[in-house]
Amino acid sequence: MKIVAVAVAVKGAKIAIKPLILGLALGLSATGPLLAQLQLHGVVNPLVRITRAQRVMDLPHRFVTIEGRRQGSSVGMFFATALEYRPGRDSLALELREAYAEVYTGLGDWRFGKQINTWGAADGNNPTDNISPYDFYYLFLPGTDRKMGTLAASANLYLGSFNLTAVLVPIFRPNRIPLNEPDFPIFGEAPFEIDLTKERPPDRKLSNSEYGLRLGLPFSQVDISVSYFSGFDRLFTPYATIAMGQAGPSIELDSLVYHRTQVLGGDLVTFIGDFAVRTEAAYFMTEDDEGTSPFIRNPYVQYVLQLDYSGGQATYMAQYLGAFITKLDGPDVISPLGTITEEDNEKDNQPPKLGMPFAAIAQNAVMITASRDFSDGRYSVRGQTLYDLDHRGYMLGGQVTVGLEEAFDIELGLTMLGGDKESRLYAMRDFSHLSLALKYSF
Amino acid sequence: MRTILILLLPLMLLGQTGMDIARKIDQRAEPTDMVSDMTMILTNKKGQTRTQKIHSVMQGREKQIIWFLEPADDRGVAFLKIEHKDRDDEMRIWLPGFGKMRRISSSKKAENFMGSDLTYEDMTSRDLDDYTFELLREDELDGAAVWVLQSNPKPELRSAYSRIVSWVRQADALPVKEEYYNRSGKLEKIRVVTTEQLQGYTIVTRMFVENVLKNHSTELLFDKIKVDSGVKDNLFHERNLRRLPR
Repeated sequence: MKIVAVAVAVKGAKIAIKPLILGLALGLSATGPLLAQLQLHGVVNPLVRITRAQRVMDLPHRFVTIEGRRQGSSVGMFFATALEYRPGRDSLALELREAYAEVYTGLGDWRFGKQINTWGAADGNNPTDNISPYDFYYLFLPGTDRKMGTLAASANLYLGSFNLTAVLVPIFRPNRIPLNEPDFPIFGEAPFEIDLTKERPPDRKLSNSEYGLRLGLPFSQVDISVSYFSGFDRLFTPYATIAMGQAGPSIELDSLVYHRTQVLGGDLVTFIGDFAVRTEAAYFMTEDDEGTSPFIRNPYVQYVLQLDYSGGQATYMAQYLGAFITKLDGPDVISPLGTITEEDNEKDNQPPKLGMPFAAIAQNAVMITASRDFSDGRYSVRGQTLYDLDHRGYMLGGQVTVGLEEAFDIELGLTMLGGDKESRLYAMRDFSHLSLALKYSF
Repeated sequence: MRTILILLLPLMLLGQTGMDIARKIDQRAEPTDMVSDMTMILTNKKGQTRTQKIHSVMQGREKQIIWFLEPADDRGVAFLKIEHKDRDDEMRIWLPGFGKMRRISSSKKAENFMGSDLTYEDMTSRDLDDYTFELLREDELDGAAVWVLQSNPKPELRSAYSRIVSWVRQADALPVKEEYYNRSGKLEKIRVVTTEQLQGYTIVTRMFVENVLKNHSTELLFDKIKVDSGVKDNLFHERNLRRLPR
């Protein structure tokens, strides 16, 4: 087994972990009294996933996670690390997922450092949640586990009954995406080789900072939030040249560009009897100086409508996810390979570069989850499905968790993907697997 | 003189109504605030137990904020409750694993709190206007004189219970035992408390709730109790849910 230098994101936005760890260690050693009351917690989580072809799935997995927290009356610190194991390469990689200082004031909290921010009212699919990038390798994990930290300054302030969240991210970080991963072909095959050396992340300058504001307005029967985000796409847009050769036309990649995008969002939570209604929508405006690029999605909308119920030991949730382009203003692309119409572009050629990660898989879909605990949570059963209404693709999943001891669980899971050949979920069918995991929490 | 008192006692008892006893409970001397560490032990019908550790701060009966400290899976989960007389109660829960603050519907009062045998309704104080009260009898429990009081929730309260029978210790007007009957009239839960005197107050140090229908119980042990320590009103705000206590 070898320990590799950590590259936690695609090249160009790589975070140098070793200096970060060194800096953190120096910082911690300089704050000895703080360390004295550092509270450490973690999870050891070995996992094996068996594919349909009856071999061990070769995808990374967080084998160990450790969190540390020290909190004073006015300041605090927090860090979260993960040791990632990849069975196919028999390698381990250490990632510092979060490391930040907090300042607590009467108005609210200020946070400085590498951090994960989450916005939105719905569960798991949030069009307005664009501050922190997603790690697509962990797309099906809940909560913050599927997101990545960014160096940022944030404030979570309470002004009367209003809640204002402001975040400034000076250094861009894209999503971590699986490329050339036969076991997780989420983006399918590109008509040309994706060469990450041609990635063009935004220059590191102040004017390229990302920022966002979110205002929460609680009322007696409803909570409403409105938000604004100005940042860059989390997925690149490939620019290619069509070259004529003796063997015919071919496509050559020129660059992978992250465009600036502004997002206006809103969410709403209310209750109808015992049911909670959570709805969320965002309007994305991608910078396109000439307004003519066929490779840039024109202003587009993503939305989610969720109905959930929890009672006793059971929780049920149904979501409808939607996305569409509001306006088509680019010309058709006429090339020796054929014509790419705006309609083609609208459909599937350009997955959304921000917003709900599942919109990269299906843009008109239903998601249903159900879970139930038994015997004070010693046993739990969970099932979920994602159904692509446009292309009739499906993902079905189920897990059974058994608590062997108070801090020791064993989980058996099954994930199946399929459907019509047109659907992205069918193209991802090699991700179908059986999983067995142990989990020890301390 | 003693003879006269004995003769008058039934009359005095007859003169005392259920509402009078309920008022005594309501007006019982209680600390302005109370801080404690709690151990919550859940026991199922097989005798298997699950233990949770909680830090709790209360101001009166109306405001409470709690943080889950153990087990590690639940660490950082926090709950805030603020009762209002003129509008729905506020209940919010912070889920650190999701990085999200969740509002809990006030109609969820019948739902169990964190898998325990206590519902959100059990954790809120009883407004005298929401019930009718009947004094059933005087009795003795564990050597102490008690009033046996029946509380009948009014329909508009939409309570999970049809009636609650309380054994109210006469010495300090504290309900030391309660029986909760579900809407079908069946006995569902029994709650028993143990108390100690602290700074002139009668403080609950142990609460045992048994759901007799499910054969499941919850034991709450209170430790490191501090009363009247000057807890500030602004602690009961959702921003503090994210701040795990030291």
